Amino acid sequence: MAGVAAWILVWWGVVSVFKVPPEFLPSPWQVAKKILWLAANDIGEGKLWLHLGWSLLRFLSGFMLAMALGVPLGLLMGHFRPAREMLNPLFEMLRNVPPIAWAPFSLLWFGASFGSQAFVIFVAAFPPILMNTQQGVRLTDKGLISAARMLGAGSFTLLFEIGLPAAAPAVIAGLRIGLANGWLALVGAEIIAGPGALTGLGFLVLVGQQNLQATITIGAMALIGIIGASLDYALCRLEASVARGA
Amino acid sequence: MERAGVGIIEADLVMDAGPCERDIRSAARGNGIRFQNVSMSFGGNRGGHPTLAVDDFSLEVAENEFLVIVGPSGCGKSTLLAMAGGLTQPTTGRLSLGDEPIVKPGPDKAIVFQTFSLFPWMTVIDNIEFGMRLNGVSPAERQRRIDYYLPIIGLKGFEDHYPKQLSGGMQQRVAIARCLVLRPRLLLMDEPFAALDAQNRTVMQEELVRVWSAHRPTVIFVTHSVEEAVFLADRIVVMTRRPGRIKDVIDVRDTTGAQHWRAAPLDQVMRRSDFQDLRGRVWDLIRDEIVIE
Ligand SMILES: Nc1ncnc2c1ncn2[C@@H]1O[C@H](COP(=O)(O)OP(=O)(O)OP(=O)(O)O)[C@@H](O)[C@H]1O
Ligand SMILES: [Mg+2]
Repeated sequence: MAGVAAWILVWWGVVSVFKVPPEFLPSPWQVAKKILWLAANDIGEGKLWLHLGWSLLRFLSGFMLAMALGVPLGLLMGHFRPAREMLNPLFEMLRNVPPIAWAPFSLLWFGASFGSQAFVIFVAAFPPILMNTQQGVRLTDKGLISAARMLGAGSFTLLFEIGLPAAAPAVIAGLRIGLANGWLALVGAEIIAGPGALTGLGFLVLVGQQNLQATITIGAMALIGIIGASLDYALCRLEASVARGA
Repeated sequence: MERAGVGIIEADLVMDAGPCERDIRSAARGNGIRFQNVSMSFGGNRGGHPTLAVDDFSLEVAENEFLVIVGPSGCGKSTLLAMAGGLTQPTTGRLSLGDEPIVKPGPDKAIVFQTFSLFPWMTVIDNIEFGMRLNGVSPAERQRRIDYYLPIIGLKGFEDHYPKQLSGGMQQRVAIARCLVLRPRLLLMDEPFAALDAQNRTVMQEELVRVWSAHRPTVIFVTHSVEEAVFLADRIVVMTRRPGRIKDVIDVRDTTGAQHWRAAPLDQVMRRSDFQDLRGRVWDLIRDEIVIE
């Protein structure tokens, strides 16, 4: 926190010492004022909370879907060798494609809508969740598996009562990476995969640029940074509490 | 041949066991285990030479027998237990429990692992209960068995601790309890007291004799302690260094007679000259096999 404050001071210092014009780089104070202004005044389809709300909704839809598919599929791929061998080449290929490259297809499949934006976020968040879950299950201590089989565990129990909890730290690490990736893809998704939409933080970034209002762009960027960091912090806490149990 | 189980002390303990009345399955006959020309070699990694860990091991362990295996490190003791527990199959040869071949692991063949292998995300209670839950033991019965064994292993008050919050010795005792509550036909123990200090070790040896006497599963017990072997065993198998073969089998009952000395406290037994002699004999057999590689 103190580190962040120090850098904001540096920003302020640079802007005022060198008398940087606000269109070029506004001061933190101007940005803060603009954020407050956005909270009180309509731009696009509404006030700031509407843009925040839409961005979060798009992000969460994509991310939740990535989690809902990535964790179970990762479990299966970690547990069953044939599933792994069949699907891994596919995902190895897909995960090296930048998520935003999916935007054209996404638009084609889902139209210029909520769905196509959420899909780009999904594509960004899915691979690390899948890969980490898979890896976590696969690297489960062999001793624990032997012990469970000795105690009478069948395949189902091994997967859900041993593999899953053993992989939990890896799964959560994957969720954190997926979360970051998904959040990073948000602005791109909102700008490219949702042309015409008048909501979202990505929209604000774009509006600022189009109207030569650097304060709006930087304000939106600041909010994106803050929210991303908060989301990561929340998962960090979850990680810590799981680690305490394990 | 009648053995220790008929001693007055132990007969009392069987009744003492109260809620732990004999399990029907383990009271049935046919819990002996047979190794027939068992060999195990592990494939070499990436073109390395395969390791012959166990070489042509043949042995019959009688039902209710307490067999102890001693031998130098790396001679294949853990490998033998893994095969007896059905976790791995021998490269050649056969194993059977009663009249059934051993083909897969299961709760009738309980293993106390050398490395404990407790589930780190489960509390002490959950670890002990897990196997019983998987095998359809009713909640009431689970509770009774836990109440019975928890004080014996000295973990009352630690029910809700996680394994990593326990000392090595405590973890080992949880690993033992998790097996005992299953009432196995065969109990395979891999250096179960290695992490205990001398005092706790003595106490646990005596407790083991006590709980074992209550329903007498067939036991194969691996240890590095000659003293422990001589105190606990009906028979001691001394193994050669790798590849593990049987070097000698010593029947402790030839020395103790029908009244096995393990029914008495260890410190008393240790003072007996016949105990000392036997310990010396076993130790001499092992010493020849130890090489520092
Ligand atoms: N999974 C495995 N893969 C390859 N080699 C193995 C494997 N398990 C055991 N071995 C080898 O087999 C031999 C016997 O191992 P084992 O663990 O049975 O010995 P041990 O008698 O239990 O030794 P210790 O007293 O040190 O526990 C060793 O040389 C070991 O390297
Ligand atoms: Mg071993």
